[in-house]
Amino acid sequence: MAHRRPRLLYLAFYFPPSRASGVYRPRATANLLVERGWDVTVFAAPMPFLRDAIGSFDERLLDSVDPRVTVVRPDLDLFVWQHNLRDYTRFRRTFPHLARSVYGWKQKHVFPENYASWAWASVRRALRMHARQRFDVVLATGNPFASFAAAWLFHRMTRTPYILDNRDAWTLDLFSEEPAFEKGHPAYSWERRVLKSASDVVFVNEALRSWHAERYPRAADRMMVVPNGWDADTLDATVEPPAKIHNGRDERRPRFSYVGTLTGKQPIEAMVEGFGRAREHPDLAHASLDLHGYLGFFKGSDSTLIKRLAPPSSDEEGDAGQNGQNGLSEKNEKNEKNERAEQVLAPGVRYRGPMSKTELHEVYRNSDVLVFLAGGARYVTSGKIFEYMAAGRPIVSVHAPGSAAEEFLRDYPLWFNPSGLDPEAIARSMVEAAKAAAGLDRRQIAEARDYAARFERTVSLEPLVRRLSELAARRGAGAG
Amino acid sequence: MSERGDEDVNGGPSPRVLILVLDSRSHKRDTRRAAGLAAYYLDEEGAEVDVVTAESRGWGQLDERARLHLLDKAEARHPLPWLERTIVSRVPRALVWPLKRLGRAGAVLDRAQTRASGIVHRRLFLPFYRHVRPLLLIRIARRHVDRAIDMAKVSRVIVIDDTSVPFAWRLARKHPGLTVTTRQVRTLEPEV
Repeated sequence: MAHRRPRLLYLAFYFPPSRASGVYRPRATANLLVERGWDVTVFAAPMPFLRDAIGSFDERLLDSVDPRVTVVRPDLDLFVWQHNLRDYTRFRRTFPHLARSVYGWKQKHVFPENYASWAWASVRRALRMHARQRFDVVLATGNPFASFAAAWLFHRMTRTPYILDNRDAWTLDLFSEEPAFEKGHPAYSWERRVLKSASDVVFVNEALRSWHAERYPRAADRMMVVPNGWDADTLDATVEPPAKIHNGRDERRPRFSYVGTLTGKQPIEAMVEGFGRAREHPDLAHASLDLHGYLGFFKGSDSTLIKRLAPPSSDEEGDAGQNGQNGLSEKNEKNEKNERAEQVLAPGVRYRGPMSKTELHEVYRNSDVLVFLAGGARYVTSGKIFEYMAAGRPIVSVHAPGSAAEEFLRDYPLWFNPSGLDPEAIARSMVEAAKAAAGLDRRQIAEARDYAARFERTVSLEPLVRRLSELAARRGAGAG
Repeated sequence: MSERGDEDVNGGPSPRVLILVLDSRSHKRDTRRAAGLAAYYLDEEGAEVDVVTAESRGWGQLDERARLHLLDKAEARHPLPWLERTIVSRVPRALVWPLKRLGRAGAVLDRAQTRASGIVHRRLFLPFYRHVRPLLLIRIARRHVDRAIDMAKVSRVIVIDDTSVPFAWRLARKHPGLTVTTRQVRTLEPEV
């Protein structure tokens, strides 16, 4: 019997052009699956949500999505994100209290998440598409976890198997490591319900898998780990050692870089203070720390983060003049006060702003040492670490001890771990990493790259693709 | 309350901000938020600030340079709350009053009437009035604002509570270029 193309419904709310940290995994999964012959339909967040409600999108990311991927954007009720009164519905602007009560009731009694309406719209849309041409398997990724509920409901109505991909945890607060909701919250019953019927449940690290396996022992045998990875299209195929820090008579200062979105959960102060102390070492006297990426995932979060990047007793000395030359001055800040605050970064620290994918190659090539700044501890891996390793540069960790990322960094040959957030230890690690960078040769880079190769996205996603293929094959579809 | 000149140091007209917090009693933090916003716009933006509310209590922390517009008395004069008070409290009290002379039985009857009136007011009228009040306040607020505030000079309307929404929406409809928002960000930039 001839196999037909397997058809996947992918419920990935955060998908390009969203610039949330969670878009890279769904983007890579969808691209890889169409490459392997799948017919992939992604259900993603509606554009008004990304553009107007949270202001978190990057049109350039759309170019990295394979044109063969079908992207559908079901509607979402923007109730909690609407601030302009002209956007209110007639019902809400006439009976505001009643509208809020109805919304609250639905949160309490139907589904406890603001994205519930997107899940409903997704199921309705999926049923219509399924009636025309059936889906073989559903892959749902959270957060938001309304996508899990949509997969479950679609399964109940059509018996289509589904896999849940936990990029995040629903009922565990990854940063406080405590339950995310009070006892009896409907999120627990929903989680139990969706896990019970799932064909497989995927986690990004072993710590998360164990935590869930302990809570849901009946689903434990269906749980697996699919770590994040780095995307080959974001890095050079070959990596050269950094240009010599002492290059003949031209002495060049060591360049430290952080690449990624800065968020309020990261230990920014420890990094800034550690870097300040490292600069007291003669070899690092004029070292720079460049921060590449967005400040926060949402609009309006940048000014708070900029303040945290300033030294504790910030005055406008040190490298303030130098900072004025960087990307900050190019930002058209709306008020003078914010502009002033942005220029008072710690000495040597420069905010370079977001960069395109093509510029990313340059950033890694022109960095001597990469600073891995991560919030949370044992349950937080941070997808960026895989890209860092693939860049073949010394990495200095700045995160709480016991971070899930250590599981992957442990065998990376160029890892410098201060074992915590003590600024003195961070400074020592930075000095050692800069020394290692100065003497880095091709052999060391090749070793580092060899180790990182196992986390290349197509490799790390392989178990998930295999499992999806098995499920599709049961329904008479096969790829490749 | 004190008046300020309507020109800033550069000679241009001062921006004007209108803060709507009609039902500040339901959330005490709303009063604090309104006072905090008013202080910011007065000190940092050199703006004139008008605060419109239907609750007279809890405004001690509001900067005295801000103009506080109280609608509570006008609301109390509205036929609906007046009618409710009359039917639920005044008339029953008037009926029971002559019986108070009966001594202990009269006192019991008086207490029973007070209690019953309270129950009807809290359990029946207030839940109903909560939804009707925003609509009722539209007219009262509009009359007051039309008289006391030059809306042509207002650059931003900040809506703190749900009760203010119907009135704020009418302002938005009447003044198409005006920013009318529930966002409590401290800026005078128009919202797109």
